[in-house]
Amino acid sequence: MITDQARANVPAARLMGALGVFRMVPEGLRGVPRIPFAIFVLFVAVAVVGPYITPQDPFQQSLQTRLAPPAWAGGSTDNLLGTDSLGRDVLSRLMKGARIALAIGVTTAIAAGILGAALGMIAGFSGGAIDYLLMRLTDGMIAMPFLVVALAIAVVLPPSIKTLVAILIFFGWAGYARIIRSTVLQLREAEFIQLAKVAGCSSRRILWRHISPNVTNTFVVLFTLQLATVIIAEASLSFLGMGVPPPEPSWGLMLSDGRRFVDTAWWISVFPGVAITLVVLSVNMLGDWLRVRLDPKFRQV
Amino acid sequence: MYVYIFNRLVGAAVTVFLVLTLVFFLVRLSGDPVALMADPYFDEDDIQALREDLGLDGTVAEQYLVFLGNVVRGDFGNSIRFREPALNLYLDRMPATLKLMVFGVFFAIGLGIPIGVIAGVSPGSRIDGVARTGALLGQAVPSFWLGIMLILLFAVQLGWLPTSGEHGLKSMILPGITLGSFSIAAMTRLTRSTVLDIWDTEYVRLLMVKGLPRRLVIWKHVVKNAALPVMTLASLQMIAFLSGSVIVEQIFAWPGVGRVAVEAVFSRDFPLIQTVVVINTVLLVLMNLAVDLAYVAIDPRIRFTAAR
Amino acid sequence: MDDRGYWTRRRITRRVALRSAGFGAAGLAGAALFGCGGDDEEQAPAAPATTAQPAGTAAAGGTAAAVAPGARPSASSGHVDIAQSSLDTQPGDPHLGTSGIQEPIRYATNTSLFTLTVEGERVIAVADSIEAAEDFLSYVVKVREGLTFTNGDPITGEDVKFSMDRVAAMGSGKASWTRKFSSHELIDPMTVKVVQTQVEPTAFLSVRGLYTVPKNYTEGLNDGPWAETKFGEAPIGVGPYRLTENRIGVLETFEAHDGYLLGAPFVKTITVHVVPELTTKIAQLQTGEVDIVQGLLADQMDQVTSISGGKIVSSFGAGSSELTYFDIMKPDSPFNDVRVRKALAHAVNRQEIIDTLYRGQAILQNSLHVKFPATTGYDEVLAKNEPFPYDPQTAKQLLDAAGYGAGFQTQITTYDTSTSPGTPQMMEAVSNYLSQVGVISPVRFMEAGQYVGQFREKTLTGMGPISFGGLADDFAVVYETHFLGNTGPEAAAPFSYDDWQEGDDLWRAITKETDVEKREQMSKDLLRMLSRDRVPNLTLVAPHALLGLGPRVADFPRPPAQPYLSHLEHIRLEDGA
Repeated sequence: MITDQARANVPAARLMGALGVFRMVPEGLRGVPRIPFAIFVLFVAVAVVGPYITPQDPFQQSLQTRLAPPAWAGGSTDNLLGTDSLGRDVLSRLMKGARIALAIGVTTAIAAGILGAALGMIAGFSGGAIDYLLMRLTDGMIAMPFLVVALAIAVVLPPSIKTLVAILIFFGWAGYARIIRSTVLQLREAEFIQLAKVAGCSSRRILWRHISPNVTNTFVVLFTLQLATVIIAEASLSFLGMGVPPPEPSWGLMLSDGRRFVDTAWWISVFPGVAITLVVLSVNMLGDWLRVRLDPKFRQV
Repeated sequence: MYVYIFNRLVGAAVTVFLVLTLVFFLVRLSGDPVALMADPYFDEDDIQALREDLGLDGTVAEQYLVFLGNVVRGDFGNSIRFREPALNLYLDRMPATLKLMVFGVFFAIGLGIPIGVIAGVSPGSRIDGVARTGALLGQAVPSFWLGIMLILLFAVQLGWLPTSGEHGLKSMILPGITLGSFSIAAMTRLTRSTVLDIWDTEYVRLLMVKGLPRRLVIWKHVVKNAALPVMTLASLQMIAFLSGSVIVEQIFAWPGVGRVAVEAVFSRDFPLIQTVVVINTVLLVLMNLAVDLAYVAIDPRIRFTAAR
Repeated sequence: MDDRGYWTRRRITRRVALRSAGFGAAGLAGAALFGCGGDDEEQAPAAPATTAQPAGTAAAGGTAAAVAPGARPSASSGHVDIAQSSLDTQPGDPHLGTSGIQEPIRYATNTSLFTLTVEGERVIAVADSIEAAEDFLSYVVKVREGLTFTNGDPITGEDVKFSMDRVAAMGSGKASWTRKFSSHELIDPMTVKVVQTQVEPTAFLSVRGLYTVPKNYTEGLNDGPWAETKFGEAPIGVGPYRLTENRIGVLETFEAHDGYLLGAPFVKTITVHVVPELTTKIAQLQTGEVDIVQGLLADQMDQVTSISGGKIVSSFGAGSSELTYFDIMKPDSPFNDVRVRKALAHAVNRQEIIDTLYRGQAILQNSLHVKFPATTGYDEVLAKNEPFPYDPQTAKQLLDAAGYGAGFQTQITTYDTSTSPGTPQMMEAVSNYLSQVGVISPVRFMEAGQYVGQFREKTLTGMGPISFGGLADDFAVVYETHFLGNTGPEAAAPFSYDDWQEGDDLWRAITKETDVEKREQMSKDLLRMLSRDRVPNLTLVAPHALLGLGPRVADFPRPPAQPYLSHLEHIRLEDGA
């Protein structure tokens, strides 16, 4: 007998089931590569909590103390990692930058994922001309040179984090769409779908119950890869002057601004550079591990 | 077979057409390049004359149709800034970028395959972990940073190589490495999994039972089986190379297509931007097609199950 | 006696500029020291190719580096490599050039009717004399005898007329040229008369830089009457160098023309390489791949001087930065109130910016664009005293009086180019100072081309930088391009957002004024009114343009106010380099 309470809980339980969460969590993080995971957790922690506990205001200029070295190399303890060319504290900016990186990465991944999934499903279910055109479009999106076209768009729009995210989403949805579509196609043929249809389940139900779990794995893997890609892409765009606009302390911007001080004030670029490398490396390694864990099919990719 | 090729060619054409259209309109969002070029004292008549001269009069839709008509005949229009055919400018600079791309691919293969083999023969070991981490470094360091570091180390400190510019083989090394390092990880991953795949096959076991040294067996098979996947990968990585070359050419003052593209974007040189993007896309699409056909030719089993 | 007013005299002829040994690159001091020749008399020309002093010989009592600037070598020798961020489209044709970045080609391969010496003095070059008619509706150019182009053709009046016709027909500056000049006539083989469209005593200043090209050669290229495409591929000019190789986006190579009218260059061949990245340029200097590097920031000076034999040369006050108040004419904008504008000027600590961001390599920009005595309208009092010294208290008081005691919100839009590389940082610093008096102005970045476009279309709001390079000849000319308002009959200044009746009226009077003394005084008055009373811009600092020299280069003197690569003929190599 189904009580009212049970009935209320069912949608939530269904959602979680559909998302395959229950499949993942009990398996746990057994065998996860430890150092990358630790770095990743640290990164997320700093991103979430960091901006509230920065030793200084990341935007506070101090021209008189510009280009000050880290505390252990002749600087003061006020600026543990030194100051940049406008006298701002490198450590505080580094911490704020973590949040910017994570925020951009997560937003892009989710938005691109949703957009890509929607288009992929449309393609997979519609078939025919719509499918054909959408697939040719994704082919084109993947073949387009990212930096050149991203630059062409960035030059037009007002420089801001939103613009950057929009551009990244523009380039990011195609990968998701392809995978979703092929999953849809495969499952359409699969026996149990046929059986389910015969048994009278509605299409939407089929979608939720059978497709979503498979897709989730793919998405998780793509998410992690997207985070890494986004951080590097932002650094490249900052190098060309079209990344996150100053004075927001994105790591890419700090690295790019600091490059002319490599000989003289190395701390301005080395710290964000190391941060980028460590985080991207860790995220990529976690992604590799996830790939193998969740779906051995991806080993080849 | 021929039907398959034909279908793929049609698909490629459609893709290129979509990209062309997309880029055409995107690029024109950026406003009026005439405003950037005009003498401050030009009056409306002068500006209008300049617009006509450059083919920028008429509505965007009109311009688009004219453009399509021209492209089909191979006319990509004149660069607004240089007043020369955009296609010629592109072809002038292409060889330089091509050199870097080829060097980069060979570098990535040259490093990626050995690392992948090392990782693959002892999976799960520390060597495996270190090898894969090393390969991933190429993707984790922003390329402009890597380029600058390489210059400072090998050109300034050690004096072994020139800092920049295109002067023969030696000057290709640093930019080529910077360009190719992004792809090492992918090559490594692919090689490693190929090695893992063939490890357990009967054939390999048989060869080992027969007494052939393990290393020889591995290498022979890796080379044979990896050839196709590597080709695919190389062609896919070429996509990243144009983006990569934008940065590498800037740092190393390399006179290639990447720099032309950046300058074109910043000066709103529509025809040149369009040309760069479209030709690149065409090349890549064709390259993918060639690789796919190679697959089909070599392994007929794949022919119609490829979920394209 | 000073150089000012030279150009407002009716008749200008060649004269000898006296030089003293040990003259350095501080053009400002030098310009004030100048001896004068008699303005209105014929003077013997400084004999160019026959000067006996070979390169590197010490002047009396000086060291090798202090060779008398007037000395020229008997023949050029040696090679130099220069790295510059960009040469833009590298047009070989001097009439098609549009931006200062292309200067190496133009200055090196061409000389105009009058030119700028490296000491910052204007001296007549291809012309023998320029004389304005009594009614100031025309002027006559007499071409100097005995000059040749780099291909050996002699220069005649026909070539000058041809060049003027060419500019009027197809030059990039043809709109402004044809606005001022209606015709050019050949009076005799060496004399050209230029008819003006209106009374303007300094007409030829506002379109200075007519480059002479050879008529016979150009027509002989069989490419239409003006050889629009072919000339640029193989240009012939009358400068110290000839363009021998032009690889777009890569390099330009020049070879010396020893018969140059102002004396043979020191260095025989020069290659200017296009190197977009600053760190790479410095690396090249460090490895010796190049000898000279352009576009340095003050922060990079140490990297150059730490090279053994490395040195820095600078063009004094070459940059010129100010923030335009875009909303100055909007009645409900805070910037409409002059008290607010003055307040903001008090709020910025310019000296601190000079000391920290520019490491002392800049000067206060006290009077708009008129930094040097050579410009008509220069006033020493104005130039030497800050109109609005750093004083946040006064700033707040003024804001209060204007009703903005609680501050207000605006924005600064900025961009980044290789000729004003310190701009973005300076904007951030300025924004910081403003926030300390309650004015919140986040810095918004825009790509340079977009910025220039919107600036011209007058669609920007808040504040934004505009910088002007070069030595202004005459303040009236500056006013016309930067400050002239929109309500008069003339074309409004392309860079002006202001519309100031009083100033515009005074400007009109100045352009018609033919009495030199009066003109000078009126220019000073206008400048004072503009800088102290109207304050349409927030003036900041004038950074020096820095160049890094490697050990092979002995010296590369720079004229003042020159952000671009000119005067390559003065590059001198060390002995044995």
